[in-house]
Amino acid sequence: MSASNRGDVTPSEFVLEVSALEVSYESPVLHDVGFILAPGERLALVGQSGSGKSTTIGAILGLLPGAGRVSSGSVKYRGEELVDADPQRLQTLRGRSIALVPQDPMASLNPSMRVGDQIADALRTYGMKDSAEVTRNVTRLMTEAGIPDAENRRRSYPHEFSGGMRQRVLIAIALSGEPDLIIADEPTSALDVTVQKQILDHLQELVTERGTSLLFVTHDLGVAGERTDTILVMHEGRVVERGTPEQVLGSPQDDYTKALVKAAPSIVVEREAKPAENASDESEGEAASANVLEIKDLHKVYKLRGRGREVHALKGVSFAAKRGQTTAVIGESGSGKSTVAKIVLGLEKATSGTVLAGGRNVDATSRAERSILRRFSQPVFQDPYSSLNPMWSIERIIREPLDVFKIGTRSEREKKVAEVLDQVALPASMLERRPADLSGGQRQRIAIARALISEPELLICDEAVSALDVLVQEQILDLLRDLQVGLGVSCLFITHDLAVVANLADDVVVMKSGEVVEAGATKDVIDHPAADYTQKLLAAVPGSGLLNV
Amino acid sequence: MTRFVLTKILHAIITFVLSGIVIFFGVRMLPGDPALAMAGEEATPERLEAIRSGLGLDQPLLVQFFKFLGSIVTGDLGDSTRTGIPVTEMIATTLPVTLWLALYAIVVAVIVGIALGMIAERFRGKWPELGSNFIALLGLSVPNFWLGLLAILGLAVGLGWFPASGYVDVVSDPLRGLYYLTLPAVILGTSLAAVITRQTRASMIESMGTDYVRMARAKGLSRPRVLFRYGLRNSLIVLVTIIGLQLGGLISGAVVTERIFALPGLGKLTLDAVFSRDYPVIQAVVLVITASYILINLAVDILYSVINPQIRVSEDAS
Repeated sequence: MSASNRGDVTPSEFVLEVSALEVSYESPVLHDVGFILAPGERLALVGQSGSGKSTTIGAILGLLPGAGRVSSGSVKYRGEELVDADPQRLQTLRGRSIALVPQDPMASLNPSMRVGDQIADALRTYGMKDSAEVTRNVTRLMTEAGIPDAENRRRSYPHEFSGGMRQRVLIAIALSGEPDLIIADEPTSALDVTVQKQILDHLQELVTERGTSLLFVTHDLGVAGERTDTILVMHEGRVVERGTPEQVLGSPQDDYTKALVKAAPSIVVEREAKPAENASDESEGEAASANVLEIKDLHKVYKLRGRGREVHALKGVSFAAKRGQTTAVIGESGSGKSTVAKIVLGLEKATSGTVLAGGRNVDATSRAERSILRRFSQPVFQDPYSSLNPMWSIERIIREPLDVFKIGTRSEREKKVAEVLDQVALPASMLERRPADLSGGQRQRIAIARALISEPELLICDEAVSALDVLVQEQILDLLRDLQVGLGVSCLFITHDLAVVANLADDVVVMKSGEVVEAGATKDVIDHPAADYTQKLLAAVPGSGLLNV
Repeated sequence: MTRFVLTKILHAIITFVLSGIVIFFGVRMLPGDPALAMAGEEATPERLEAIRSGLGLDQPLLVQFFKFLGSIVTGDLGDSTRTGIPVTEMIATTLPVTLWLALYAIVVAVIVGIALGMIAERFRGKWPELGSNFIALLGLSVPNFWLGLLAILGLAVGLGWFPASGYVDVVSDPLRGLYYLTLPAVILGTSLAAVITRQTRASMIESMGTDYVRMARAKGLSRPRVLFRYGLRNSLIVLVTIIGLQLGGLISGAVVTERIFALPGLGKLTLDAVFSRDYPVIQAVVLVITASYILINLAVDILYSVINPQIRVSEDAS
């Protein structure tokens, strides 16, 4: 199967040959990228955002965004040169010979067109005329892609589908032209981990069944290792390492690959649970409670507009978070984990139940009490790109809480800003810049600095690292760990990522459909999961077997 | 969907009744006396009194108001104080002129605007985009009446391609009717076309950059198919809203355009009525214009939900 990199197949038999590919915008962004793909072979392109993976597939499909162009090198599909080929010819090849499963299923379907029509659109383009035949094939393709009740569901609009179902529609579209090469561009990175596994299993099955070649683009070494024959690691527009999964993951040669393998999500709990004594010792005078947060029987009901429909987001959630430690709340989208965070922050009101933050009920009504609570807990949100005011300087963003809470004099505030900036390991030269000048990781550091400046006791991180690349993720998690040791701040970490939990949290609360299914020390929960759901989550982590060698 | 439409219709009726109240009292707050306007400066007080009682203007305001409400329901809006002709009859002869003019202007504006906007998007950074932007800027900044005068001078008087004024009934003689309306419709539609051009360009740039357009191209769909079914179709959601908002301006623009081209439409009737304090006519005309605003908005709301399936569902839930 994986013959391509040994060269015992004659060139014309290769489905895809990329050689010395260079893509330029104003300057080259892709340098000397080359690989070959034999029929039925599965090849992974692994790298972080900006490494050139997406540019590579853009060049193959002739769909480079903006002013990008192939400045040298060649891309051959079954011996036919695609670089500078006739646009009409490329249009014919797309879908019929080379199909794409795109990255973001939420955005990749036409919102004003029924899903069945979007598949039919492709079929008709590929020459199917008879409308009964088109309908029959739409239903067949949807069923094969794993969409139940396809006969009715084909009349639905994309927004009536979940992310996983939308990705299945896109897979159905990709299969509709019976291509011999499928390019899957991070097909599941926007999906929950259990859904991710189902989709990948299914895609793999379909591809194997048909003998289709697969070019799999991912940032996740675990996924790549489990599901492909060959791995290419890309970094800054170059291929830095290539080989079988065993070679690349087992004995990486390149420094960058080594770092990537090291940072790859691993769910081995390395940390010993920190004793909570130091915290309780210090805070003897105040409430004498070891818990920074106590949640009892929390319910939240959202009323949908009209017709009395209701959604029970939380159904009696109870747990406690220890002072000076990190408690992770893990669950998939819709589990209610973010609702808990919002209620603790006072951004939402609970329908019933109590939340004690530092012994104070967050349902407080007086202005003074609310102000104290706001200072007690500070949030760090998921998306560092949209949670910082783009018009403000970094200095003003970080200083804002001090202005709001009226802490200190002007010079004291300035001093404090410099201090927290140092704590999050950013240079003072950042202060005058604006968020747009910063990378994702730097922005998240700014968000953490802003959260820390009013000296809160509890940091609430809502998916604070999931928008970041894995190496950056690692750095931010390190930072959070150091801050906790240095400042003794407690942390409630909302996440869907078990690897993050394993790396960071002392305790973990597993949530599903608004209920806590399991809670305890991280090591216990991961090593001996009691609930079925936790076991399922653990099993779905990609590469869990491969990376722990 | 039916529920959604019914709710919208109910809202429209409530809005209409409320605006009826505003119109009635608004007209009566206009300075000037209709009796004086009818009888002239020389009239004796007795004569004025007689006219007032003939018009029912000597009755208490509240009584007049309920009579007004009653007249809306029965459709008998009274007679013009100036000409004595029933108001409904006057509107029946002038309204079609304005409606044809407005409709024609909309069609021209939508076709020209969308075409220019799509050209601008397709040739970004090249001369067609600059040309399109320039035309749009002209259309927005040059006043209608001046453009109208220029057109009459150049195209009608100078070149003799179009008639300078006049109206032929569109129903009885469609070809000649449309021919007479072409110049006024183009002039009236200019600013609307300019707004549509800009909006189309902006929303096409947005929708052609989306992931679903990229996906449509990766499917191997033909360029026109991608452009219209995936690009334009989703741009329409924004466009319909903008066009709906602009239609109000179109009706007031019609008043000026009708004046320039001497069209016997609602605009001309309104101006004449206001100058002679012809209460029944002013009331009726404003009522008709209000009703058309409300109908347009109703149509836009319904059209909006047809174009955007997501609205349909979320509104259905309410």
